[in-house]
Amino acid sequence: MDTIKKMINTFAYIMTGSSLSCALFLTIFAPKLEVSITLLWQIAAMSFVCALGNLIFSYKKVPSKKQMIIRTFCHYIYINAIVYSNAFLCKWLAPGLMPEILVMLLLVAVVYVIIMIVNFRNEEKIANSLNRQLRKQYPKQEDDEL
Amino acid sequence: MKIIIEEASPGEEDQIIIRCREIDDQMLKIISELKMGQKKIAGSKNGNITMIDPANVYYFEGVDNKVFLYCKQNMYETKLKLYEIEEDYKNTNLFRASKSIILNVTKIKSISPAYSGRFEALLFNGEKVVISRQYVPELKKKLGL
Repeated sequence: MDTIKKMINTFAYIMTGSSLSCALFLTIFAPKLEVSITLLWQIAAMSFVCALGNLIFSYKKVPSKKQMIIRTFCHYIYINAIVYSNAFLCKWLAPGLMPEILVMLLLVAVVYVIIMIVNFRNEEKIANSLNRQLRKQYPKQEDDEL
Repeated sequence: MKIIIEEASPGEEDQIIIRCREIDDQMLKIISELKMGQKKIAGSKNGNITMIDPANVYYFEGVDNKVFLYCKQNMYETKLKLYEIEEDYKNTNLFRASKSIILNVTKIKSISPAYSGRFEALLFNGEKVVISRQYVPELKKKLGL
């Protein structure tokens, strides 16, 4: 249940980030282009598949810091693979258009980092509220020298 | 709150009776402290057995079908299983922090985020223990959030 909630959150963040990135991308490279509703559904479908990437972070045994870094790297590669596959399948990009491909690479990186920061800030808030309660309820106790 | 101590009749078992209008957070804390002090846990180290007060246990960890308990400075092995500890010490200061760790909430100095929904608890003895995302709601409940 918690995993599903997290995926829905991720879907919302990616959808927002992708929509804004798309708006920026088209403003730079095709300002006079008229877009159809199909584009919005394509972005939604791509965001959904990207959100499934959260499963990379599921675990039975708590992974170490090194394992988490590897998983994050794999997750980033997965996101790029989905975005670029979608871009070429839906004809957002044509192969060989280097400036557009590089800008898309940059936009994916920026959205990824922003989502990471937002998630981290949310977790920081939770940690702060837990710490406040800990200090209130359980000041340091003396114990045996065991 | 009044504390009344009565002498038990010969042969009568020692009892602690709590009489209250409702079981609030304060009452739960008192009950938890009493439960923690009641049963000691046998821990073995280098062939020696030590009876340990659960209130002094920082955390229990299950590794390779064995369960170890970590106090401030020492580590002992216990014959208890994690699920038994979780059951016996339900409604105390011990809570499941991950699949292999049961943590004593009173030994947590601070909590910080550790990426991807996990949290890292810094204990008073300097050790760090990871709290899995799925068990954070249980910790919040334990702290009354």
